[in-house]
Amino acid sequence: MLKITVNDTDGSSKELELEVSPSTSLMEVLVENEFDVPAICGGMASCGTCHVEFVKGFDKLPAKAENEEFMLDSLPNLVDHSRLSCQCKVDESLDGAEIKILNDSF
Amino acid sequence: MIQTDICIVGAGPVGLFAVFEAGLLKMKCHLVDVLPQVGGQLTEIYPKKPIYDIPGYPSVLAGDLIKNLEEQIAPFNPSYTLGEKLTEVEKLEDGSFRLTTEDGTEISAKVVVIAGGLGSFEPRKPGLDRLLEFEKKGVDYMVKDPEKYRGKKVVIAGGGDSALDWAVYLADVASELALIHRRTEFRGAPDTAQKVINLAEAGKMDLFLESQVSSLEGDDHLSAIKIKNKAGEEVLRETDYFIPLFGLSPKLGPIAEWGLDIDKRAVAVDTRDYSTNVEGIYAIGDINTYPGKLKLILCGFHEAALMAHSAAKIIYPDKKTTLKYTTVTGVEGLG
Repeated sequence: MLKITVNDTDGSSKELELEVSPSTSLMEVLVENEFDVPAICGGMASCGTCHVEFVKGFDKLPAKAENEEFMLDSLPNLVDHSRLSCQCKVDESLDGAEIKILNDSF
Repeated sequence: MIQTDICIVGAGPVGLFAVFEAGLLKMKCHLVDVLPQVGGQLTEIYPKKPIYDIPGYPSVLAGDLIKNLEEQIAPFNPSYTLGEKLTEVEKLEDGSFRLTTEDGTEISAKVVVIAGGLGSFEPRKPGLDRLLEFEKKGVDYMVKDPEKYRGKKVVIAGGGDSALDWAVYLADVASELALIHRRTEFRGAPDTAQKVINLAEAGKMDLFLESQVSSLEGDDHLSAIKIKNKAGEEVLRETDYFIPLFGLSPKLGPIAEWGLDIDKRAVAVDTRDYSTNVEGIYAIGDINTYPGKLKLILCGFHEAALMAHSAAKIIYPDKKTTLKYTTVTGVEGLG
């Protein structure tokens, strides 16, 4: 089981236990758990509405692909440890991570 | 005032297909969309992506699906108000509706169908102090009339197509132009990026790479901005206008003000006909919610068909609507 901590936009925090599932994205986990993540493009790294900050565990993640880099680049609230949650697979790289939902445009 | 049977708010795939279903029942539609083109998120966000779950199409590009839908509804002659945000919906005593856009366009409709996806696409705003204070006083999120900037000092921020396109265009219009971009590479079209670099080398604009705007200055109107580079060094630059172009993001926007039952940024509907709590207003596609809702284009198409049969009872109260098969009646001339 993987453990991650999610800090919501309202300041509340929730621990999630996840089974390893590389075909699932972190965005899908957040949507399933009813966090306010619109994810309008459905996971194509083309809308930026699943933007999260990795407060912990950023360095464990695989490198970003170019399309994610470009999309992040267009977000006004980009931070050093920004990722698109739709591009993060639910695998060991997420274990112990702490994220913050950053959909400030909503 | 534009007169129509049904005013469809949102010209994405579901809004477009609603024209077809309404047309089969001899109802005329007018579409309103905040975007300047039809297609909603399919054309705005992912026109070149293939979609695999449209029945009958093993694979179809999002942009092509929209083109096909336009062709499919053309026999019903829908009319359009594009590039305008619908802000007000007023129910009149006779049960009909008067709708008004922020540009003042008025539409009279017997039925309103909200097919607004996740809301209206609005510009993403950078998180800067005093940004809201300077809106329309030097801060613009889109270029509506480039002549406004003639002879003025302008700063654009962003690295996508619209930032690059406007930088190229405004290089000859503005008295001084700067483009600020967070990275060294551009996300927009490579040939436009090259043009920007050439213009900068020719001294027609100043390019600030690996930099961001850090603060806005001015009294009644923006007068200067501070630009911070990766090393943390700040420079002050005088400017009349700051245009951040960071793309568009959907917001529920004015829909939330129309007296509809809203549940988690979606409009609650009755699944018998996708009607809302306000008689005469329907919601179809991604904008609605009901138990078991799936945000799929194909579900939106289904919802459009049921909505149309229910709306026909409002528009033709004395007429029984019968289900017509296009295989029997055809489509041409029905509109």
